[in-house]
Order: sequence, then structure tokens, then C-alpha cells
Amino acid sequence: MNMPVFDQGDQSGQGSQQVTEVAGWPVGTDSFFQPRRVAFWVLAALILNGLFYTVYMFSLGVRVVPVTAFLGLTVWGIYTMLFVQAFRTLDLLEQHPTEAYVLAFAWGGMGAVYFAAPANVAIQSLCAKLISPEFVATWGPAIAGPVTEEFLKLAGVVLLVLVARNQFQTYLSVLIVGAMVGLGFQVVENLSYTVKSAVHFPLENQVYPVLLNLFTRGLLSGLWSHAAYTAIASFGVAWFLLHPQRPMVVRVAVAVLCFVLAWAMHFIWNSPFLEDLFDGGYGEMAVMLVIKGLPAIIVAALFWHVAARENGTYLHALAAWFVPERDLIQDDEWVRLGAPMQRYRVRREMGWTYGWRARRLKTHLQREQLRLIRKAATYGRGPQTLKHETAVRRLRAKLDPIIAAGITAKT
Amino acid sequence: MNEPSRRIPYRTWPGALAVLLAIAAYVGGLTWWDRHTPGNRPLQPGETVEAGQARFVPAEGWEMDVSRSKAGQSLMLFKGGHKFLVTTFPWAGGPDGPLVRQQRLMERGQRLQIDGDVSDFITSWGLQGKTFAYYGSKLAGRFWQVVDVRRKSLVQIDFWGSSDGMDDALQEARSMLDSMDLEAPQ
Repeated sequence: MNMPVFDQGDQSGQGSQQVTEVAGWPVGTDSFFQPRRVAFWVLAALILNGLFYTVYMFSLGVRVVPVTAFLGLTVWGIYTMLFVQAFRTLDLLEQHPTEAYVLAFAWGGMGAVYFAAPANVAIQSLCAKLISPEFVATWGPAIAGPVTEEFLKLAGVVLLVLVARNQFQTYLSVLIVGAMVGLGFQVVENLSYTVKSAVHFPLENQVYPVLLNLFTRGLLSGLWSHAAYTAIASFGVAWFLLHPQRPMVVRVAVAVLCFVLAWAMHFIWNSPFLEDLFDGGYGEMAVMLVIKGLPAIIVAALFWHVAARENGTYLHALAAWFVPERDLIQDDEWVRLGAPMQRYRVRREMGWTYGWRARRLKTHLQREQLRLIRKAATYGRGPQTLKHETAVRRLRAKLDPIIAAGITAKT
Repeated sequence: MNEPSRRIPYRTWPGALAVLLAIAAYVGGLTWWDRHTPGNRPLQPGETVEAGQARFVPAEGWEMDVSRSKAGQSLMLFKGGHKFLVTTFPWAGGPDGPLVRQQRLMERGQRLQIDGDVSDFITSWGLQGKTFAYYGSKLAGRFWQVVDVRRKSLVQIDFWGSSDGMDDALQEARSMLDSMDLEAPQ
């Protein structure tokens, strides 16, 4: 283990970017705003292009079914917030600065959707011409959707990695960006379907299409939809990126394998498999969707598990080296650093035992510890990490008396 | 691992260009291939075609556009610059609602103008419903709608095209509508 060397001096004039030239290059990680990198401009231009298309399509919906369009926007907006909150609860959003997620979501919802539409139409049209319209009615969505959409969503993940490569140091850091790209795609696609379905809805009501789509596309299909597929495919990108010592053919093979796995999950979902076994009722449809979606959620959960473990090992090593003080990270907190679910359980138990304020303080404490480790690993310990060290100590000073009072009250 | 991150410059243009080219090749290639693949299917004279429960006899010279037809849901026929699209939907609301939404879609979404008022029609097979004409800067058309309350289904027939040969094409569209019934086996 080499002793890391950091500049402990102030950062005036450089913001948070220390420019120690110990190893020839400045210490730090790249931001996602990189006007001198071509990948940034390609990403930005394609997102902007997709934004115009999305706004145009939405304005069409507003003119024809205004209630559906605005209610749909609100409902799917809240839906997005719930997913983001779930990611935040598991501290997954601590992997990157906010702009990474904004870019990822925007790529999925605008960049990828813009290109997916004509490509899907062309594939289904070709299938109709070369095989038959009957074939397209049955297999069109399964043939067109997976290959086009998984490819386009993953292209955004690759562009984001190109923009700020050294932000991606763990599997988890790539997976969460993939999941956010998938979420963006899923939400904009759902909004688009909601508006389209309202135009030809069997009833006059403009609210029912929103509720129906929220139920079928949001609740019954939401967990095993695009966010899960893109996370699976992104694992391949992560493996390719983080194993430069392996032969290129192996790295490419793993990336391709993960892509094929994501494609296969998406294919099964879009295919008519099992549809004959269930009638058209909502109850049976729900059962069928759960059965068809389970493989995707199981595979995605496995990949998340592997990524979380690797992230845990990474955090443990960083914490042991950069933040050895036990008042900053206690032993039990150190053990749980890489286990988001365990950390969540501790917060929940703290809330039950000592009240809501204790839970909130513990949440902030855990988050500040993660930020301290990451900042220290990026820039080294020094003035740049002082804010987080102070925050951890301040939060602990507030939390400990609450816990002590709770224990006293019990005894 | 226990070294701080370094901000080492690197080139992104080869990777970005590769991604851009891959997207362009995929989307552009598929679109190009689709455009250069003929999608017409000639129909035999007197042959009955179906879209959902609607069936009718196409007029002479009209061909099926397979890429814009969805089995069991819609059927697109074309002849020259004129199109005849039959679409079936489930229905559970007021009979006029879908027509109003269609007019809103045309006027507000597609920037078309409704020509005159909505009128009733009845075919020789007894199909009855409502119809209206419309026009735009480059096309004109007529829209028919039939609601089958008993089957809870809606059939919409849209005919449009350029003004060249419009009268003859409209006459043929009316004859196709006249031959239509809603008895196709499901």
C-alpha cells in the first residue's frame, strides 16, 4: 500500500480543485460539465435535440387532451420523485454530483426516446413488409423495443462515462447512472403512452387514462422496466471500465453478455409469452405481469448486490486509510458502510427506539460519513474535508444525548 | 486504491464519434432500409379484407399498405396519393365523444380545418354513423365513424389525399364504405 501524498494547502482560486502536481496531474475528479470534451457536447446536443421533440409531442397532447397531459405530467413527475427518493434512501445518489443524474435522466427521457421512436417504427414496418402485419401485431414490440431501446439507453451511459471517466470507480457508480437513464426513458415513455391512450380512450373521461396507465405501466410494470434493464446492461460497461488489466476480448465479452441479458429480459417482457394462459381481467393481468417481470428484477437485484458488495469493499478500504478516527466512523458504522439496507435498518430502528429526530440525525450522520470518505479519497484529508468532519462530530454530539436519554428512560 | 483520484486529461472524441456513428448508422440505416422496402400488397378484385370486426371489398386498383396496417386493429389502403384507413377501437362512452376528440386532434394537433358540419350517414348494409369533411394546406379528406353499441366497438374510417383525382377517389372510398359490415369473425 503506497502512502498517499496530498496537498494540505488552501484551495483559493481553484475552488475545490486542488492542483497538486505530485504525480504530474492535479488531484480530484472531473465534473460532468466538460466544455472541452467532445463527448460532453455530443451528449448535450442530443439531449437538447430530444428536448425539442419531447416538448413538441407533449404540446400536441396538451392541445388535444389537456387534462390528461397535465395530470399525466404531475403523476409521472411524482412517480419519478418516489424512485429518486428510494435511490436517495439507499444512499445511492452519493455516488455522483447531482448533474450526473440530471444528465442521465435527460438522456433517457429525451436523447434516447427521440431516436427510439423512428427506429422502432422502422423495425416494425420492415417486419410487416418482409413477414406480415399479423406477425408484427404479435411479435413487433418484442423484436423492435429491446434491441433499439437497450442500445440507445446504453449509448448515454457510455457518453456519460466518457465525459467524466474518473467519477466511475465502482460498479455501483455506473449502475446508478444506468438506472437513472432507464428511469428517464421509462417516465417519458409512460407519459407519452398516457397521452396517446387518452386520444382513443373508450370513455370521454381524461383522468381514467392517467390512472389506468399509472396502474399498469407504473405500478404493475414499474419495478421491472427500463431502470432494471439499463442497470443490467450498465454492469457490463462497469466491468469493461474497471478491469483494464483483463484481455480486451474478455472485457468486450462481459459487456456484450450483460447487454444480451438486458435485451433478453426486455424481450420476454414485450413478448406475448403467457398471454394465452390469462384472460383480459386486471387481476390475471397483474399476476401475468409479475411472473414475466420477476426474472428481470431477480437479475437486477443480483447485479445490485454484487455492485453493493464491491462498493462496500471499496469504501472499507478508503475509510480505513483516509478516515481512521473512531470518533468520525465508529466500528459498527464502518462495518455497515457498504451495506445500504443495513444502514437503512439502523436508521429505522433508531427512529422506532429514540424518535423521529434521532432517525433524521442518524441519516445525516451516515450521509456525511460517506461524503467525508469520498471527499478524502478524491482530494485527501485537509481543509477540503473539514466541513464534513465538523458535520459528523456536530451530528454525533446531537445524537448521543438523545440515545443516552432514551437508554436512561428505559432503565 | 489508496491514491487520490487524478484528473488526467484524455481524448473523448474517438469514443463520442463512435457512439454518434453507431446511433446514426442504426437509426438511419433502419429508416433507409424501411423506405427502400416496398410495403404495398396488391389485392385481388372482389377480395374481402378485414380490420377487426369491420370487413369490406376494396375498390379496383387500391392496394394494402402493410407497414401501416395493424392486424386486428387497422387497415390502410392506398391508391396514388390517396389513403383509406379503417381503424377499430373498443368503445364504452358517449357515441359523439370519439368524434369530438378526432376533430380536436385534427384541428389542434394536425392543423387541419373541419369543412362544414357533422352529418349522419347510412350505408346500404345498414351501417349508420356520423361523417365530416376536412382540409389542410396540401390535402383534403373525409372521416366516417360508426359506433356499434351492442359490440361496444368503434370503427373509424379516414380517407384523405391530394386534390388531384379527389372526386374519383372519394367515390371509390364511398363504395368501399358502402360494402362494409361489422360481421367479421373475431
